[in-house]
Amino acid sequence: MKRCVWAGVFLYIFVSFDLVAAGLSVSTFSFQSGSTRQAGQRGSGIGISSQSLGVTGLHISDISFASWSDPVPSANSVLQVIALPSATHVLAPALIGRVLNFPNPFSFSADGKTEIGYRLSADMDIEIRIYNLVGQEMANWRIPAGEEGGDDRYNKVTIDRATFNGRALSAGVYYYVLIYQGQILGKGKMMVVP
Amino acid sequence: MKRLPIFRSLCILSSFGFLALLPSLTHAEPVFNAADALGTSAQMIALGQSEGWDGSSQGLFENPAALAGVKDWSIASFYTSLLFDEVKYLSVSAAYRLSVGVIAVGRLVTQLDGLESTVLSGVKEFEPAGTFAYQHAVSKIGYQISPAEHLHVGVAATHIYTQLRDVIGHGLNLDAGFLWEMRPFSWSVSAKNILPFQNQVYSNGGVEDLPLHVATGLNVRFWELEAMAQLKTRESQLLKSVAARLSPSLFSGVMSFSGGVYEEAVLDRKNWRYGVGVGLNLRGLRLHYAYSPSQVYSQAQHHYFSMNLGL
Repeated sequence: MKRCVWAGVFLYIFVSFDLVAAGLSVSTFSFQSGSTRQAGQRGSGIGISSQSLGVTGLHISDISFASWSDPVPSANSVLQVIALPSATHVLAPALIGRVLNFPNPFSFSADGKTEIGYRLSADMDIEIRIYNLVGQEMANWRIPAGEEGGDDRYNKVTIDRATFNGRALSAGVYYYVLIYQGQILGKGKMMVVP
Repeated sequence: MKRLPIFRSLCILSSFGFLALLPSLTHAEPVFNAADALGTSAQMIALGQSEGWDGSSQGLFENPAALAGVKDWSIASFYTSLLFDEVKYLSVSAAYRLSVGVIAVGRLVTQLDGLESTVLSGVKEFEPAGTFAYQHAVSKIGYQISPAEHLHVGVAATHIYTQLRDVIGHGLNLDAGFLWEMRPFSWSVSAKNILPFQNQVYSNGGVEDLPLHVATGLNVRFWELEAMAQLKTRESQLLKSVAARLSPSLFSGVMSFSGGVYEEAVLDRKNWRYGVGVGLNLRGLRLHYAYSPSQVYSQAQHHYFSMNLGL
């Protein structure tokens, strides 16, 4: 079988589909040996099913690869699949995948900061709350739909001294909670080191 | 043992207590994040964070002079889980009356597992790259004596250990306090971290101030009711609290009801909060339950239980 060259470690696969259940997910899986495609080639049959995407109720009708180049992955290379909506579909508001912060741990010294990253399925009004380990609320703010943090893509929200009125948080662990229309979309833990 | 005149002792100790309030209102950031902000017993939470009145071994965490309430021995424990039940919070203590004074040891631990380190993926998104843990432990050893009939003083040495993934922090300091009791009045003054140049020092070179916390409160008993008012310093702010405890004679001293409101400092803000609770005293076994509303979204309430056993 013809050997092909894949795009770095990760590739985008754009999937248009009929939405049966609300919500999508970001998923990783291993390549099956022999799953190959040419650059620009479109079509299904690469061996990716809705189950392998980690979601159910989706019908994958078309797959295309955005681009690829060196290096050549092995048969067990890990591919991150990000299911994105086509222009003709409207998704229910949801968090896709997980919310994480990078770096973690981080320090406020030398203008240090961390970023909370998450993907949304649609433009959404998001509220973020941060708590210390005894449940005291350290910060609370809202992000309008369509702005960074409330956009229908991967969002990154910066946490730095400005988040806390110019103050640095003490060393320890803090929770962040993402809220949409009264529901917790996701939560995570960030560690501050001195 | 020669006893100091009560009046002179009170003057010295109260001067110390009130002068200590002043520097405790200013400090450089960042300051060490004390885990005892929650309270160290259900009784303390039910009394609106009013501290210094716990006559069990748990008094070691509030005011070491309060150990005067230990008759022969005491053991106490407080456990709760916070923040989606992921954060474990435990304090245990024990006290024993010697021929002169009371000695006590205690430990307070906050623990959390499953924190995720992250990396930046090839598509500039964040991915988990392993897990690590957090632990914070405060160990205390204290001693209390009563230099006069109505006057109790106590000191406690504190060691603070913090594990932040691979960064380890240690700190040492001292607490001191006095308790003056003359029915129907009690007056408590306690100061934590009284050594000014002792910091929390981390293995990565980081240093945090161990802030001086001072609390002074008055307790007055009217018939079956105790009323408490307190001032304390936290996060550079002066915080107030008032509380009451009712021990109806109807229940022969077995059951008591508590409630209190208090100010809480979070960064530059102050919030008013409250706690209520009930206590049972069953021949030396004391059980306390407290309720305090949670600030954490979708977690409307928190319930706390603590117990102490002593003779």
